[in-house]
Amino acid sequence: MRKQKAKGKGQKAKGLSKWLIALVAVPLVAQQAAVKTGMKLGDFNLHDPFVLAHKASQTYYLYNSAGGPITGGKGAGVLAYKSKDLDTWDGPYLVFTVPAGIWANPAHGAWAPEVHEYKGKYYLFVTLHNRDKLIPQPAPELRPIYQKVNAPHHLRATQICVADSPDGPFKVHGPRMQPPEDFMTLDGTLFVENGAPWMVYAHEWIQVLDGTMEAVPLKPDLSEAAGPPILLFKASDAPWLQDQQKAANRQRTYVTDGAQFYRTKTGKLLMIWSSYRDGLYVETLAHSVSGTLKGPWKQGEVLVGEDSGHGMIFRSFDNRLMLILHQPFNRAKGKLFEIEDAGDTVRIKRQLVY
Amino acid sequence: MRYGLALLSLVLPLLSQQQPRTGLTLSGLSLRGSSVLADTDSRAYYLYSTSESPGSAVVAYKSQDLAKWEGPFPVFMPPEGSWASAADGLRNPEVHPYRGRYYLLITLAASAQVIAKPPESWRVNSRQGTEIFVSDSPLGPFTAIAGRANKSHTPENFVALDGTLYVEGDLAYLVYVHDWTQVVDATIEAVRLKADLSAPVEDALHLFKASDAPWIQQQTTTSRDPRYYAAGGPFLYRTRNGSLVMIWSSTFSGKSAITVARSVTGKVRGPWKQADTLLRDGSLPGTIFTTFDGRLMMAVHQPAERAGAKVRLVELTDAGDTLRLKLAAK
Repeated sequence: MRKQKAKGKGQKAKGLSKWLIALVAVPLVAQQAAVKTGMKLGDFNLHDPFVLAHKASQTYYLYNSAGGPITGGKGAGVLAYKSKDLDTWDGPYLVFTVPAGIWANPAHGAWAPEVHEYKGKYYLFVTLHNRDKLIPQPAPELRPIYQKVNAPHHLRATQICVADSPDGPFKVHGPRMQPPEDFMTLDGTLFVENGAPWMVYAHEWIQVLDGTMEAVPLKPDLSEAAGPPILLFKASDAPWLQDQQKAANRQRTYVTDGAQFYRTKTGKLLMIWSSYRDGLYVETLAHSVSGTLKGPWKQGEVLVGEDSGHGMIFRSFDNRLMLILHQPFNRAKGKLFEIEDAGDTVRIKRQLVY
Repeated sequence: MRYGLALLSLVLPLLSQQQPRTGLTLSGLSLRGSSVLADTDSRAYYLYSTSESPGSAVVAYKSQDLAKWEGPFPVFMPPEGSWASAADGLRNPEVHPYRGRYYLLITLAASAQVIAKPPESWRVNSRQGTEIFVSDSPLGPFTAIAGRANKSHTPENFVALDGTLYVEGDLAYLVYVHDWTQVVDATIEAVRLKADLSAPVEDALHLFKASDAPWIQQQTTTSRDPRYYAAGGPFLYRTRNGSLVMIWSSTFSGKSAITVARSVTGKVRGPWKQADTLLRDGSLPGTIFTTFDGRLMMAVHQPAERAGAKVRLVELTDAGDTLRLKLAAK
């Protein structure tokens, strides 16, 4: 499962490089030189899309991970595309490069970037990795097969970065982010409840076999964790895992990815997240029975199937509720939907970009 | 291979040392498994165990009143030339009356016969499964069913265990555990059997997975530890109002727990709905039986590594659509 993901991300970087590599000459001016205007969503590969609707500039920022061709050979980073109307996009603009000398290895990639406006600043949440720094390992026979081996567990977590503008440049904020360093986690997002910030993240199925969604409280300045993490739910809780309801001689895989929140007009707290059904990626829906982050979380049905997922919900400047996600998992493109707030859930209204 | 001879030479001296004794009590016996058969024909109770752990022979104890027991009586050893390895032992014997005869369900293994290994599976899996043998007496000897194919009745490429028999109308089902060591999240599955129980007749059916248990979902701490879900000891029972329920076990907070599930349709195929636990004290389930004076009992055992296990009889209440512990004054 995650093999597909890693592959997908790799392919994305390659896909970008096809049309960028000829344009990128000098690393320092690479971001300027590479910018294209008037692109449609389908014109560029997009994995784990995230849109910040920036009211002050009436601009939509679409963030994605950046590979060497965009960072000027400095390893992984984060780029943005910009749009005024969600129809045509300019970019890519480089907003962050993984610096040398932190816990993560810049050569090992950056996943699932997202930017949140919080207390007048802009915070980038991005999943970084260091495959050379192993964390405590259970016995090999308690590790799932990933990329044809009993996957070793290494540093992987969400790093928070900060900037004064959604254009960046983002700088690493605080030490290595909690959750605990021996947790292998990804896809951290910001969720603020009654003024208290939390990072909600996915705990790798590679480490825990049954992937979980967890949350760790943050200090008000987002510089580090303010307490131990809590468990929200497990991937195996999903009721639609029909491929797990067959007798077969293979290991069951339960993936959690990409939590994003939305509170409905009636005050119901929803989370969209991603996993796999019959080997294909899905965007699925859960809601908190208590209306608070702690849940308990009740799982609903799949919102969008067909190998789609890792989406997020935002509101357009003309007050429409939007869902952006990627599809298919490999060589993914961005897909845009208008959705409606039905009070106790959200529903797809129409697909705007196929 | 000559396991049969090897086994005989290994086991017979051992068994001969264990002459049947009378006046035994459950609290004084150290056993492996807690399968009790209440046999109406002989109006006696039979308790099945293996002679050692994991066991090279199945032995039985007999009682008229569940208080005093007589045994052990050797009732089964794997037939010569079996697919299974004698050295890998026998586990979890269970005896069921069916169409006038007695059938022993026993889990056998062949650790040298690898069915999958990394990277195609997450760990090395070798053959293990439940096989069925027959006798005219609850005291055996249990022998191969005519037409037996010398393989487990559970699918050969599944790591399976703890098979039990359930008869629904004219159809006999072998219900068993598909082990977490192969599938991470253990499942309870079933195969329909030929009428003579000599072989399965259709592909395995998925009944439910251990992670479906709501009390497993209540385990809400974060940890870097792998989360896998074991299952064990299924046994099916039809309640007084016709509901089909199953006891089975998994782990809660590091201890074995026994729980109940109910088939929404009343059929083996389910779907199965999970209820809360019956016992969370480390007990493993054996069988459910009705005493000759009409009490509903569940035999359970609590393993203690080398010393074997103590068998306890827990009285149950048939609550119509589920089973409960009977909490009447003693």
